[in-house]
Amino acid sequence: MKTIKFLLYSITLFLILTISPVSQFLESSMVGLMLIQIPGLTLSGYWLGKWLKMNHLVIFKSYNHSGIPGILIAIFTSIYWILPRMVDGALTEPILMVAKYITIPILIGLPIAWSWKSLHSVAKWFIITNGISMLFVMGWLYLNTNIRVCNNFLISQQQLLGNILFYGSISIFLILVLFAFMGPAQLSREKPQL
Amino acid sequence: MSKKEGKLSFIIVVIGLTILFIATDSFQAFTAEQARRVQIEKTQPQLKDVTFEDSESETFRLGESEDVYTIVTFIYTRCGDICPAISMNFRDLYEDIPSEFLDEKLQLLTVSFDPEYDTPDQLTMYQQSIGADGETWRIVRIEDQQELQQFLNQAGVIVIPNEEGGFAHNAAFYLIDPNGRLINIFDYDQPESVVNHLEKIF
Repeated sequence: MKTIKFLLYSITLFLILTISPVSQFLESSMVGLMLIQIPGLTLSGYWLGKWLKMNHLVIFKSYNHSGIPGILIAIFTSIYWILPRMVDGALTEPILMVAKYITIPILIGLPIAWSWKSLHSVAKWFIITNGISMLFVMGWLYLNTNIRVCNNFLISQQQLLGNILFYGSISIFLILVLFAFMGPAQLSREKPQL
Repeated sequence: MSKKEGKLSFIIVVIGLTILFIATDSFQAFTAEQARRVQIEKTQPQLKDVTFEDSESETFRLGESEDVYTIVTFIYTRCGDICPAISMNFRDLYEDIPSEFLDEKLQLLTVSFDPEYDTPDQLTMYQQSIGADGETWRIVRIEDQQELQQFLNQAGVIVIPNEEGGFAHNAAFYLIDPNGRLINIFDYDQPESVVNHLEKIF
């Protein structure tokens, strides 16, 4: 099977992210945690989903033909893990830490792999634009609040993350606008998949 | 989207919202700090007794003063960041509390979590600079590291070293009842809410 490589990618990435020097290093800064660890675990789950294709699993396919149930699971799980109290909780409570390492790949990355392609392009753009504006709002909040959102991190790290989210989301938005108006046509003229 | 998927999506939304509802204490607490307050007001945990040392090097225990409520806040004296604001607000609080409360029913403690640097001499200087009287409002430290850590944990105070050799820490005012139960946590920038609460108790 060609797709066996995805399983290898998935396992390798998961192991790298969970060995303690790496996880400790990433968890020592807010940027490492939010922009490397969580997306990394998601990617590991995504690759797992690429390997374990949904089409082989008839039950899942019939319940996730439109991709909407799968993407909803991914969205709710992501919201859960970016709640500041869960970010703190996963650093101080072992049970939450284990839950985080398991549910981010299985309930965010894997459903994305199984759902994204089947989503209607309107739903895709709805999610992309909402995602970008959410990052923008988060960045703005982190930059403009005097409170430390997470007790385990210094305010300077919160501001660094705020800056990256704020300017990052603006850049992504501008790039998307550029693409939409003058970029490769397939990005803006996707065939609707009903 | 098929009917089956519609139903499933609906169920996922309901379950998802329920989990978020529970995880945020009914959408009240999004940060660990808020969560701790909701939790403490619900459970009113019994604090383990602890020994304080004040600026005169006198030691006393939290549990020894019967019938007296205690308001506690945490600082370290070298702090140039948030502690001056905490102490200013603590002084506002101190000045706003009717004096009959302070004589009999209430004591204020500013607790340093940096016992190594904050010796009694250091505490005396701090006490003078912020205008504490050393009787109803005392500046104290907890010398025993284990007791200090336990007290911080029970109050949910997380202290982490910062880049400048100082500390970052969460700030609040803590109300402890005469039996040594932690009954309320107040924002450090709203001393008036503490006074209002005290007036209800007394």
